[in-house]
Amino acid sequence: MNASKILAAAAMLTLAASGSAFAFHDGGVAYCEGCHTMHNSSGNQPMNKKVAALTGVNYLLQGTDQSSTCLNCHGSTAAKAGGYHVLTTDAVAGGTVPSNYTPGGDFAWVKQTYSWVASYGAAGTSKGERHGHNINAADYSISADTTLTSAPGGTYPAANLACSSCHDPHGKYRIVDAAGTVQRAVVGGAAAGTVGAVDVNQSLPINGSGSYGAMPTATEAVGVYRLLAGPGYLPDSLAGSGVTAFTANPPVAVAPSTYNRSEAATDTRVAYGTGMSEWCSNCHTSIHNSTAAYDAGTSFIHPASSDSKLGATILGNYNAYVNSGNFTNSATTAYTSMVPFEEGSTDRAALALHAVNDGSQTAGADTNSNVMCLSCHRAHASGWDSMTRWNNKSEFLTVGGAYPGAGLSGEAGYGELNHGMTQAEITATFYQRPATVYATYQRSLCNKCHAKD
Amino acid sequence: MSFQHKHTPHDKGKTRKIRLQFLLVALVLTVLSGPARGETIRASYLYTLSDFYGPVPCNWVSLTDDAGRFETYVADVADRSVRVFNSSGMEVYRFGDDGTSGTVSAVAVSPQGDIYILSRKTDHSAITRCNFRGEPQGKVELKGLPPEFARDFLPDTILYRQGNLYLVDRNAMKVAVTDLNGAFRSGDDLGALLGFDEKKRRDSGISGFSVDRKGDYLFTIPVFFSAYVVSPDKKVRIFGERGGTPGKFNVVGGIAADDRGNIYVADTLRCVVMVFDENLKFRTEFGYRGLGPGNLIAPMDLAVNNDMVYVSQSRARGVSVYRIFTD
Repeated sequence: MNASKILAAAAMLTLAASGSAFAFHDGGVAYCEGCHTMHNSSGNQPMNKKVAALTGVNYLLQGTDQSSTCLNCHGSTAAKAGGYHVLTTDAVAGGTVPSNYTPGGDFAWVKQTYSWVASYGAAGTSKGERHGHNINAADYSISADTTLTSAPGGTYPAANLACSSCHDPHGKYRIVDAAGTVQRAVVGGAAAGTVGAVDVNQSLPINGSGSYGAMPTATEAVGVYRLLAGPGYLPDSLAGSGVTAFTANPPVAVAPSTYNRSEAATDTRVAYGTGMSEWCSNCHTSIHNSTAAYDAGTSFIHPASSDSKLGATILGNYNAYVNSGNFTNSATTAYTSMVPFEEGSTDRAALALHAVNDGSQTAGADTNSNVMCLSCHRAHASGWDSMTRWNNKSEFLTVGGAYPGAGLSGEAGYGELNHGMTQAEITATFYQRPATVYATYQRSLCNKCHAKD
Repeated sequence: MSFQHKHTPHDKGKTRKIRLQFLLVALVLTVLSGPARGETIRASYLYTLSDFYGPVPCNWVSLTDDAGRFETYVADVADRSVRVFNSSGMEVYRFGDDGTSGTVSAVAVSPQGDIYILSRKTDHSAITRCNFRGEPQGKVELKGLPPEFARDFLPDTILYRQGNLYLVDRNAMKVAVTDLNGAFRSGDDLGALLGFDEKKRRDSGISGFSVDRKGDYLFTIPVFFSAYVVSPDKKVRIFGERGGTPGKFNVVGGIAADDRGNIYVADTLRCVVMVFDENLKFRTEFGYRGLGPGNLIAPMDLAVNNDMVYVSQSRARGVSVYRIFTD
């Protein structure tokens, strides 16, 4: 057995406990061979058969494209959903439901197109491409958005959208101190000063993920939240395209270590700190609006910004709202991950205390809280048009105390309420929450803040 | 007094026959003991599993071999079907796509021809025994499960081996072995065996799983870039070294063994199937990313039936079939 290790089970305890090999990214750049091939050659066979061995492929990637490379690991069948997976490969409209319940959502929704006929005879369609970010992934049958050919509010081309459009695959951005200072170490960084203070000639090495609340030390940094890209970032595929590089810092946020799970019993609470909307505006620039601009009457777009504090009325609504017609909640129990908010904080240590999945942190908003893009949208995809967290195109989210669904009898089967989705699929969009947490005829969750129901 | 045996022509023939039998036994033993040092293993692409309209364009389906009848079963969650293919790779039967079997996760086939369907929903799974036509004959209720299997055990994989059903929850990393009526016989918590705490178990999980002819568990854990062989007496052998060159693991998926002891491991990112001998020494690999015949796109599940290897993959590439040769 010279090539193998025969170990008794007892010895395994020591071995298995000795490291955390599952942290492939470890907050920064993974090992090069994990994604790249130097010569497009494996055993003198081309790793990508589109070109000959030893001639190379774009970006020297092993995968067919950027997103397919990521999804080779981050995709799974429904049976293996959970953990670090963000795509259910065998989900199909009307059948197996997208089964990954990450806060960002399951990319399988962008492949699910639904059609229905309303009770009054009108036909409706919700195209899959309307449900999320259409990351081009040829190996997983995800193609570019055919309607929105560039980012709404910006110029980022849909044909180039990939996981690496938002996530820096090399994870160069890092948090270097307790205050959350972000740096990117680049050659000539300080002199070049690409976009301000983040680029430096010398920084700290990254030694772990920054997504779960780990703090940097005097000698080591942690990565930024979810390897999101920061100022100066522009994928190589867009070099010379005229698309401008990112200008905003990655957002400050902390997730619980187990985040891909059913929320039937308790919420998965990501403690969003600040900067999410500004970061989204790297691509969706003209859609982004601050409260200051809104109040000044210069842009009548729903505010979503770090300065978009909830204000006394909205804050009161959020903390009182239970469901339609029931405004008896309290500030200690008002939180719902279906309508999250930013805490207005850069204190990652404090945020980490709130990032739980056991239901122990249910406090609602306070005067520091602000609305953000993710208050209404999921970052990857959802079951609904415009990747909103709930159906914004029907009057009721529940009917007679249950979720609607195609094929059901009575009102629940009305196409205008179920939008062609089965009850199981609609339940999945609510991350398996029982319909009983809502009113028997629950209206839009816009009302969590606006209380018009 | 002694008796001396004189060779007669009949005896000579008998001796030749004995020698021949001895040689035959030796040959069989040699073959069964795996490839001799220096032997070359190679794979030749044969075809993609097809129906009369051409290759069946499925993705990441679950594969089951029925060696006795030389048939292959393909469970496709996406269209809820179970397809049966003959030894020529042609579909000969299909069932389940009318929804009567629920969402089929995997199937197992007994020598008697019973088909055991594992269907799964969010919070429970069910086993249905079907006849050769896929018609339900009865539910298989799990009985006598110990407490550690009575909760947090949601199998998504089922195999038949030696009169037993192996039920595997790959997320929880647990295996329950039952008789054909669902009565618990034994169980293994592979996560505990490997010393994983709850978080590490949740963050890792098994990708490929199978049981070889000796009753060893074979499984892969992609986030550890490793494959594992666990013998019935719980000896653990680990192999695999992460990397992108031949024989190394990037994102490992399915795993299966042939009757010679060779172990096949699919690498989803590298788009190859690697072959290791029974000493876990890397011998060869085949496939490679591409759209041509014999290439693979994101290979996942594997099944081995005699000298044939079946590989499920993505991009609607279906199930590619290779024949293994030992030169």
